[in-house]
Parts: sequence; structure tokens; C-alpha cells
Amino acid sequence: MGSSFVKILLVVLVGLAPVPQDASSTDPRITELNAAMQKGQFLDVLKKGRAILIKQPTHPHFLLITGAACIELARTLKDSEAKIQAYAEAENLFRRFVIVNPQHNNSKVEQSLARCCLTREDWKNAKKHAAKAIQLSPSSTMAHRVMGESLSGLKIHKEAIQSYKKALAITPRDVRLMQLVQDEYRSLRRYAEALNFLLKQQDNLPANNRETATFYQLLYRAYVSLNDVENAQVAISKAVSLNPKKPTLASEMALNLYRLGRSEDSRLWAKKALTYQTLNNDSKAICLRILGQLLSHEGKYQEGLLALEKSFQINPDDRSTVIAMIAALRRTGQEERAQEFLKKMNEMPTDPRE
Amino acid sequence: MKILCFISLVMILASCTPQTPQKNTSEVASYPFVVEDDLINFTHESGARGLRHIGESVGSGGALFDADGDGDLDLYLVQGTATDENSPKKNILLYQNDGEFIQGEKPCGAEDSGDGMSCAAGDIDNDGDIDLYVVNDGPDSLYLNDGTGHFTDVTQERGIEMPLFGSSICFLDVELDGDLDIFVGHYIEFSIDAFTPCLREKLEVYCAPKNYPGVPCSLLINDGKGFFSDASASSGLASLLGKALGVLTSDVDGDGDQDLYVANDGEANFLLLNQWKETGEIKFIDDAYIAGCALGEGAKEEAGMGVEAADLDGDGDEEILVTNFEAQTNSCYRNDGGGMFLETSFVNGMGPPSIPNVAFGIRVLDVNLDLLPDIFITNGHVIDNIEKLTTGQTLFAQQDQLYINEGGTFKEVSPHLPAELKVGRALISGDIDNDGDLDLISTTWQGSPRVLRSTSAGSAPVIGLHLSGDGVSCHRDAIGAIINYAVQEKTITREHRVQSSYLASHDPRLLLTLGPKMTEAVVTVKWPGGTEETATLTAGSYHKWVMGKGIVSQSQFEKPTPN
Repeated sequence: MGSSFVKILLVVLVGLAPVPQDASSTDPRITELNAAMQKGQFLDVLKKGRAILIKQPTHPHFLLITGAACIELARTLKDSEAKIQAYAEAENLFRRFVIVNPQHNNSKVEQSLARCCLTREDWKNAKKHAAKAIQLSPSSTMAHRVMGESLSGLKIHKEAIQSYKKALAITPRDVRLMQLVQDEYRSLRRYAEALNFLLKQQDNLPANNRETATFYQLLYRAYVSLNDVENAQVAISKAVSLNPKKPTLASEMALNLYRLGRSEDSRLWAKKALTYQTLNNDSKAICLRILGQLLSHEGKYQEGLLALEKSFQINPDDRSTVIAMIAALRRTGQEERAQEFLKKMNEMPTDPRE
Repeated sequence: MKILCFISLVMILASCTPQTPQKNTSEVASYPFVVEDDLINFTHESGARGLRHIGESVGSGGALFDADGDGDLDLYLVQGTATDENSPKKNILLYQNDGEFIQGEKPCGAEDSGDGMSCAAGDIDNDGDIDLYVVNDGPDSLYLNDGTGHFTDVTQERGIEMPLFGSSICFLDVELDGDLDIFVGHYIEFSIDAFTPCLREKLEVYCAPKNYPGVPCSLLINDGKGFFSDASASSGLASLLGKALGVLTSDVDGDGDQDLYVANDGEANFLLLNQWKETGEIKFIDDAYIAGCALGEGAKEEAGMGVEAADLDGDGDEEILVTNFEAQTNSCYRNDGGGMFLETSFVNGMGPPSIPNVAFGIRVLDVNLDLLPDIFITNGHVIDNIEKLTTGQTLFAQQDQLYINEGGTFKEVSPHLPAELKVGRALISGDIDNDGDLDLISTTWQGSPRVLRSTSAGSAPVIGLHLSGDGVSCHRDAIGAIINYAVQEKTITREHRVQSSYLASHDPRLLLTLGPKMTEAVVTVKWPGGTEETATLTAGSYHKWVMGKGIVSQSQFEKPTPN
């Protein structure tokens, strides 16, 4: 879901929107910026919007469209500092809009402000804006969702679940909302409830395979949390069949097959996952570790070590990799290096235990 | 109006984050064990009075040994603390008589009044009968047997002063001087005065061990006459803080002296290498990390509880097995020789079936007499209200598990017909009916012990062996003796130990399975100290083998009772 999704949504929504006959509609700049937004030319919109706002700093339409372009751009930014700045600018513009239009009744303005607050982890103000957004539009999925995210930030997990469930009641096939509910249950360590919740959602699966695959990935994780690796395998297999090219599904398949002791299958999936250019680093490190561990279990320590070292380069904080490396190093006569890695491992933070 | 429509459109975009019971005989016989839940008249008392002190959740164990010297196994059961403050608690010794376990008319003398955890049975004073050491949450006790199954408390006069919260124990001859020394595992430092309840979901639960400081294990050295001195500090053990629950002896480095393995709860496990052979000093060095047997799958400090060692892959050295908490696999540390272990639970089939359970007692035994050692595990949660917390997803009482060795990998099977779930703790093994197979007794939290009577007797030839040191150069229990015998062109190696599993002391006799048509086998015993002796033993009998004297007596197995 990226800019293409945004473009499609814009087209759909603009198509549905009535054409108002007010003074603004005659402003060619608005037509131009609308068109640019539709094309996903957010930077262009931002630049032009900024220029207009220098001369007309309180123009409501340009405040909002520039703010919206800012948010869209922020989402694409990888540099976290730049992202924060972009959201800050958007927030500034929306706030100015509210000052100019204190009696506004647009829930989405409040939703956007809540989103900006969430980005800078200002949970309290996010909640305030979310509450207003809900007041203005009680049937808005997004209003309830930002409320849920605000409550989650405030660690009021039970209430966050209620907010997400309200959002889901409005948009029952939204897998992202299902994921948010599951995350809250996990925060509460209510793994069984997380699973029960997901199982109930099976009647509301989205029509498209990619989203449904994501649902089964969630279900897989819920089973893993409950130590049910057999059912986890059923779920992840289903996810893979629905979206066979999603890299993280391949790596999770490899990991679960490793847990099930299906070494050969695990190896095949790890190798397959590693062929994806877009596989994230964490998953890549896990797949390399699995390959290294499997080779070590077969007594091929030298080959195993190569895979483990690659895994270590990507994620030097994984104790499983390091301990597997120590074993392989000792069995290949590299005692000194084994001792070095042992020292490294002892300096690593351990996982918090229940 | 147009502004508002467009604003609406923009806002949608701005706020839409694009993220992604009774059965017939044949049916019974098809299971390796028959469950007898009402055979033993004893109910464990944890001392639980609603406050949920951690110590209540982890006990208690027992011992199978021939207390009165009549040739059958008696059962000593350790009691926790009385649930009713005003009613005294007592450990009991149940003498076996015609297959029934019954309490003697007179007190046995080893009733003990401590908050009991475990015990070890062994001939501490080398006088030919089996004595008892009782481990408590609080001061331990040592009882000497008069040979008739009556005991005298000699704790103080023999130099035993062990006030810490003890768990498991094992006897071993640390410096190979022919007597039994004592290694006591200690759990945590717990003070009732400093106790604060632990909450989960606003529900009071037993606190996890991470809430309490660890403590060192202790070593008591025997002077040869059954008097002990505390060598914990001088041996290096006092500086190793852990949370021991399971302990065992094994000559891990094959140097001829007994090393120790300690399963710690929530901490890295210890592999304590005995330095006696190398330096002539009573010293232990923890080598677990570099050896690869400190941590569980995923390089995590797991909730080590029970521990067992056996040569699972037939290469002559022993793997180490550790039972762990739910969400963790039971660990199987494959011994690759040279002091190197590799955790293999996810590749040998032991891992996945163990993940949902909280495992305690563990015993390796050849249940189907196919010459491949299998694994029995007893499970039970520690959080008594876990069902409330997990909306019934996790049970407090849990199933027994049996892992059948299929030649390198393990397959979980039902060990017995469906039976009531129990909160399992210790798992004690012994041939209670002398029929030549290994039966099991699992203790249960606030319940009666479960007898698991083996159905394998008679399905393959088996040699029974009762080793006895000479009491001079080798202690009577012969712990650490290495037994070798050849079957079907392979050599089977066993290391003799009496204490292992969880809070358990087993029948000291060994059962050696033979190939289908074999009637005898040449058996070699390497006694602690290094002396080797060989004898040809016939299947179908127990042989008492005394060091330096050979086979001094033989008794035929009893006929297996129909199931």
C-alpha cells in the first residue's frame, strides 16, 4: 500500500465528490493542486502550497492541502528526523486552520491533528483530538482508530482494544485494525484472547488475497504466542498460499518449520526467502541463522559458520546466532575466537523473562 | 462547499496510514504403562495457605530403595508443609509388602519436620544399608539406617548444617576415596518477612524466581566414616550463585571423576567440571557456557527443572536433558565429545511437543525394549490459577509425555490410556514389582503419587544388575561406574547414577536390554577409581555384583502381572 493506493483512493473519492459552486472553485490554483494530489505529486503540492501560504497564510483550503501533502511526504521519508519535521509542519498548518476556523466541524482535521500528535508520541493531545474527531463523526473508522492508538500510547490497553473494535465494527474487513487489536492483547499478555479474537474475524476476511494473507500471518503469530506450532504451521501455510511472494511469509515459514523439526523444508524456505531482494534485515538474519544451525546439526560446521557469520554481520545482537557460532568455532578448532564470542554474548542483554 | 469536500478528501488521506477407565487387557498392553493412581496412600501438602509463597509450588519428591533389605523396593515420600498450620506434617516411608505400599506400625524414624523438597538414598556410612538425606526449605536432615528400615537422625553429630532453601541432591564420590560425598542444590533466597505478592491481571500468582536472589549449591565431603565437612567455599561452589532445581552426576569429560550438571531456574545452567583428576584438589569449574549447555534453545536462560543424562545416540557419551517451562523447549544437549554440547531439541523432535507444558520430572528408559533409550516426562504448571489467567487455554494439571527414540529422532506418543491430568513434579524410577522392567512413580502437587507400571516385562531379554562397591576403594553405591556390553554389533554404555530427574532418588539397580534372541551378555564394569571387571550375565535375573568378588547372588525376575 503506497502512493499507488493513495492515487486510486483519490480518484475514487474525487469521482464521488460533488462539485461545489462556490468562489473557490474558480481558483485555478486549487484545480491544479487537486490534480497534482491525484497524481501523487506531493512534493510539488507542498512547494506550491507553501508559496501560496506566504501570501495567503490563512487560506483554509491551502492550509489543508499543503498539510495533507506534508503528511503524505512524511510517510515516504526514511530519515526519522526529516519525518518528524514533516509531521511538525503538517501539524502547524492544521493548527493554523483550526485557529482560523475555530467552529469547524470537520472530523478529519482532528484526525489529522491526532495523527501528528501520535507521531511525536504526544499521546495526551492525540487522545484529545481523537475524542473531538469521534464527537464530530461517530461513525468514522479512522477517528476510532486514532483514539485506539492514543490509548495504546498511554498504555490503556483495554480501552484501546475497545476503540479498535468500534472501528472494526464500522469497517469489519480491515486487517490492519485486527493487527492493532492483536497487538494490544499481546501487550496485556492475553494471548488466548488474541487468538479467539482473530478466529472470530474469519467470517470477515477481506476479498483480496494479499490482505487475507496478512490476516493468516497474524493468526500464525497468535498461535506461536500460544506455543501451538502445529496450528501456526497451518496458518502460515495458508498465508503463503494466498500471497506466495511476500518475503516475510517465507522467512516465518522457514522459522516455524525449523521449530517443527522439519529441517529440509525449513532449509528450502530459508533459501527461498533469501532470494527476495526486499527481505528485511531481521528476517534475512534469521534465515541465515537457520541455515547455519541446520548445517551445524549435520556436522558441517565450516559451512554453517559461513552462514552464521553473515547472519551475525546483519544482526550482531542475536544471542542464538552467537551461541551457534561459538559451537561451530570450537568444532573447527578456533578456540580463541570462540572465547571472544563468548565474551560478546555475555555482554549482550538477555531477553526479559516472565 | 467545495473547500469542505476537498478538505474531507484530504483528511481521509492524511489520516489513512497505508500500513499493512476400564479397558480390556489387549488395549492396556498396547500402552507402555498402566496408571495406578490409588495405590499409594499419601497426599502431598504444599503448605499453600493463600499467600502463594514460591516454595509451595515446586515440591516435593521422594526415593525408591530397599529400606528394610527384604529385596523389594520401598518408597520414601517427602512432605511439604501442612496446609493446616496446627496439624504437623510428616514424611513417610512406605514399606512394600506383597505389592502393596504400607506404612509401618512404628515410626520409621525419618519422618522429619522440615518443609520438605527432596531426598537421596545411599549408603553414607558404607555399612551395607541405605541411609537417607532429606533436603528441606530450611535445615536438612541426615538419617542412618539400622539395616531394618528404621532410621536415626544424625544430622548434627555428622556435621550437616544446611539451612538454605534446598531443592535436588545427589551423592557422588568427589575425590575417589571410596565414600559418598553430598552435593546439595539450593534454589533461592526467600524471606517470608520480605514477601510481596505478585500480580498478573490483578490476580495474585506465584512469583517467578527472577524476583528472588540466587544462592550457591553446597558440597559436603565425607571423611570416610560418615562425618561431613562443608567444602562449598574451598571447592569454588560458594561463589556460583544459581537457582538450582535439578542436579546430576556425570563424567562429562571422561577423565574418571564425577562432574556435576545443575539445572537452574531462570538462570544459565552449570556444568561443574571436577578438577580432582587434574589437580588432586576438590575444586569445580563451571564450563557450561563454552561447552554449549548453559542456555536453552534460542540462547535463553530457561526455567531448568528436571535433569537427566543418557547416551541417546549410541556414541558412548551422554547427552544432557533438561526440562523447562512452557514456551520453552525441553533441552537436549547433544554431547559431541571433547567437552562440546549442541542443543538439538528442534531438530530431534523433542522440541515442539514440549513447548506447551511446564515440565518437571524426566527419566530416560527403554520402554519398548528396542535397545534405544526413550524419554518420559511429567508435567504440571506452577501457577495454580493459570486457567483463569489464560481463559482455560493453559491447564494447571498437565499430561504425561513419552518420547520414543526412533534412532536419532523422537516421536511423542501416549504413555498410557487417557487418565486424569495431574500436576506432576518428581519422577522416580524403579522396578517396583521385580519383573525386570522399569516402573515409574510421579509425585503430584497436593495430590497422591501416580504409579506408572511398565507393561514391557517379558517382551525382550533383560539383565538386572545391582552394583556394589567394596566399601573401601569404591563406595557401596558405585555411583559413577561405567557399564558396557555388546548387543547386535554395537556397544551400549551406561553410567550409573541414583539421583537425577527432579527431586528424585531412583532404584539403584540397572536393567540392561539385550537383542531379541540373546540369552546372555558379556558385561564390563569400570568402577569409580578405574578398576575394570568383566562377567557374563544371563537374562531374566537380577545379579548382585560386588566389586572384587563378582556376582555374589542372583534372583530371577518375578513373573509379570497380567495387566
